[in-house]
Amino acid sequence: MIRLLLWSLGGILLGGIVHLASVLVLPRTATQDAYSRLEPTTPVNAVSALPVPSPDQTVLPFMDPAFAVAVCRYDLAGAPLKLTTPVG
Amino acid sequence: MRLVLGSLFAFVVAAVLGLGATWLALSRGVAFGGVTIGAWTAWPKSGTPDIDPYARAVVAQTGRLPVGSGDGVAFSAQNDDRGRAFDGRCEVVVNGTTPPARFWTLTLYDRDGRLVANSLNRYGFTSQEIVRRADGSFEIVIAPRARAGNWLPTGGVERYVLVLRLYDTPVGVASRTGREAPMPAVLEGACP
Repeated sequence: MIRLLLWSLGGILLGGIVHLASVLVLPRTATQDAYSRLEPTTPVNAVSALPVPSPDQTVLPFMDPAFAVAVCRYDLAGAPLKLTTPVG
Repeated sequence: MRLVLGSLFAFVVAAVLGLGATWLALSRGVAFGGVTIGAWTAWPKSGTPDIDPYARAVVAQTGRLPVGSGDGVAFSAQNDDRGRAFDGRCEVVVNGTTPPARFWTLTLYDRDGRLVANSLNRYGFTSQEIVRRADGSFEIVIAPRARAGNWLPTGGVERYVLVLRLYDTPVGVASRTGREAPMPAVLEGACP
């Protein structure tokens, strides 16, 4: 009986470690995060506008329909990125 | 033999407890540093590098893009002020004022973050298009059937989420009370 309790206690402690580790590892292993959802439809090193969210299709969940969203996936491996934009 | 059985038992307990706790924490939206005012909850740190690990995991798992802390803060509500979950077949009244902000939007989503289809193609209100009373306060009625004034259709969905996004606002991590950030009251009214 005591032995079972001890094993359970060990399991609970180990469970705490598993919980913390899985929370920390999840962002690195998630396959459906914003970046992976945008990867197939947006070019690298160029700004592209996302389609306006509608009930039928939305690229990312909880997008604000009052705003136009554009994304630029950048890769700095080759060279630095220079961004210029007209203001006003 | 007993050692093997015992450690196997401990591993099973650990896996069930640990992964179960992770799943619960992510599906319930448990994260530290939340600011709750009335029915509304925001995680102002979600748009900063200081985001806590639970919120980061939720962001990664659901694929959403949090509002950057320099842009604003997003408050969401799933229940009214009395704690009753929003029901798309009932009438919900959002009444009052918002904290100071240059621009705000109120949007209705289903629980997965999709907009809810309706015949008007109206998914929310912005601070520029809303009809206000003389003192600057406003009332938005969220109901399945058309209403006079600011009507936001629910499309008859069962459960939904309201998201109030304040852009360019002083509300943030330091805001704790309704006096600093006067959020609109949310009350569920009559159900047919």
